[in-house]
Amino acid sequence: MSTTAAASVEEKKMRPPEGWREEVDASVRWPVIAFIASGTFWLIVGSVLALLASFKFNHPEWLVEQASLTFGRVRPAHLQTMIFGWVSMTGFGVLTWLWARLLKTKMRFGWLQLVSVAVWNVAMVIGTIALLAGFSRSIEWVEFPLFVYIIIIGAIAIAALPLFEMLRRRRVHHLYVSIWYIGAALLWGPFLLITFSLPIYEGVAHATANWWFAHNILGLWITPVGLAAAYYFIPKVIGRPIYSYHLSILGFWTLALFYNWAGLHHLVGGPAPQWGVTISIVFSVMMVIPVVVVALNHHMTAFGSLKAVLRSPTLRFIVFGAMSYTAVSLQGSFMSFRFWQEITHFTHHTVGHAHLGVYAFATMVLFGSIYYIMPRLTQWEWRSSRLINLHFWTTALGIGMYVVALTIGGILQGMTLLDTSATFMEAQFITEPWLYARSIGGTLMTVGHLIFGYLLYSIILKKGPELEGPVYFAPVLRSGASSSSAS
Amino acid sequence: MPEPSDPLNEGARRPPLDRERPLEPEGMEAPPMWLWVTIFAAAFFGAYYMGAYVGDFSADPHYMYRDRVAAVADEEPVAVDGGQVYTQRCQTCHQADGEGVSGVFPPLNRAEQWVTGPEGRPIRILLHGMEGEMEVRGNIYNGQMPGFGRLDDEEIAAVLTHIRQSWDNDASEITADQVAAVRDAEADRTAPWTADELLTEERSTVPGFDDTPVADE
Repeated sequence: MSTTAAASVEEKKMRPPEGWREEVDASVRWPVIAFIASGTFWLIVGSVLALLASFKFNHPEWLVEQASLTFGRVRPAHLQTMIFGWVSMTGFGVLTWLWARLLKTKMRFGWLQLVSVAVWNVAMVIGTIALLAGFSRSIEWVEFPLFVYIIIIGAIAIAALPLFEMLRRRRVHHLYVSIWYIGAALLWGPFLLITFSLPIYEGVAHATANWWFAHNILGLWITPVGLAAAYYFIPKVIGRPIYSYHLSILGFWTLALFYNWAGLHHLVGGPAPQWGVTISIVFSVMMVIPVVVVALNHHMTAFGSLKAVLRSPTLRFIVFGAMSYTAVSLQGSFMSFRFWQEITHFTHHTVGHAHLGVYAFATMVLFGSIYYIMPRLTQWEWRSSRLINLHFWTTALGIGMYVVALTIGGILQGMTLLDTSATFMEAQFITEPWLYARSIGGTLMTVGHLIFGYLLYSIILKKGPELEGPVYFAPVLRSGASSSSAS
Repeated sequence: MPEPSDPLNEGARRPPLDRERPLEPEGMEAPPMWLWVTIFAAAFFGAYYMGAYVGDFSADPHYMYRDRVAAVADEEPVAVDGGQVYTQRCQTCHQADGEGVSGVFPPLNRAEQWVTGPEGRPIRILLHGMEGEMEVRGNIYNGQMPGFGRLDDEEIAAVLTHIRQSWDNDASEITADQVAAVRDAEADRTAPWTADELLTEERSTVPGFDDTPVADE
């Protein structure tokens, strides 16, 4: 990299002192642990709600005596706890740690983040109980009562304050690509929440704003954090630079420019003006560009380091997530087309796609990040590589079954719905075996979450044996382990 | 102090913070040519798709399906289904089998004087309703039937034809023109009919269609 004389002086002034990692990690320790632990709590709550909703497809008469346990309440509660509890809170913990590490500066006013965690959790409890009690706004992805979002926006603002202070006191000259994504998400996420919370929409405009919001929460709040983590951990663990800085720039700006337009493809065939939907499909297809660029950047970095991917829990989860990101995004571009939506719109196919994004990509990347972050925050090792292995395979196979089952079942459902000689109920019965497979996949994932919860509990409270050295999936080669993966 | 290294590669057993490699600055590889081709192809396709389907930024939600909307509009109007009107409006009292409810709602099946007889009577009953004592199949009923004048001529004709040709009934069809003629002739009438009124010659026929054979009595 070319550095001017001024820049190099600047760089010298900014150089962090020795042992900065200890200092930085210590400053974010409790806020990050609080965010991750809270998120994991909501992950388990959300999993239970998900299983309830899923089993109801197999046994519709099951647990219908209490209104609070009926599908119409359990399903939105699952969605909201997962998005605003698990992914957002854990994501905030991960992004805070990445932010501190990449700016090489310690966090001041860390107690603000602890306040934020408390407020955020209170909002989640109120929102979840409200949904189960029947106080839903009945707007998909935004079911919580309005004031709950206002509290969550406040919590995000409080938690972001120390981060902006850190940006001011950064001890690096060059801002790494992960910082761009996280900084952008910190602006985009609250902007989305505030804009959609305004009481200015009605009718078709409301539906349009709704899908703009829902799609962007995934693309401009969850995705940037996932990509930031992948951009950090892949080169970090492998010990190899990210393939290309040019691709990083290209990928970031095309995501920033294109994603925002994509949400309206959910309104194909709906009452919204069709030019809006057309533009949305155009930009859904243009999303191929950032996705291919980011995929190239990540996979070229990891390419040739298969051993490291197999051995390191962090890498295994994150590479799984990065590959899922490529898959879900390309699938999404294809799914936006009108000819395809004629079959899959309003079927389980879309649900499979949503889980490929939020779970196989975002959730798996978060798991991988936590496996790296927690030992550094607690100075304690994970208690068992076998349990981590079990966590990986239950969740990977679980989400695999889930997505395959709903992708196929949804297409069959859509074709039957289009068949004018078939009854509506035939279109439902044809999904039955696939919905059983979905329930089994969901159960596997939930088992994985319980294992993960136990591992997290153990490492926070420093339970289990006092291990030396990292917990990898295979014993570390002691002698002459020529670094085949580093070359 | 030398930078600590990752034992994933070098095999040292050290605490987590001491086994990290520094994050290396990004590489400077140039984007490959096929990537530029892909980017160009995506942009080209986007421009084409937008040009093909943007529809002059019309607010019309059915722009894409204009031909199908037009096709539906050009279709022949669907004939009114008399059976459906019967199910919705008559069946509650007169029952699916047209037998009514004994002592409360008179039967329509084999009710020769009132249903399958001269066409003017059932049309009038339907337009304005009926009240007071009447004899149907040997039983005396004393109820009140509301008028259905708010239905249009096609609907009334369709449901009367359905009633006159269902179960054991087998009488002539009633047309919308006949209903229109009676509606016109009785335009001033608001009160329900009584049995005595309808049994007169004048109230049994349809004006302009008076070649109707009077088949009862």
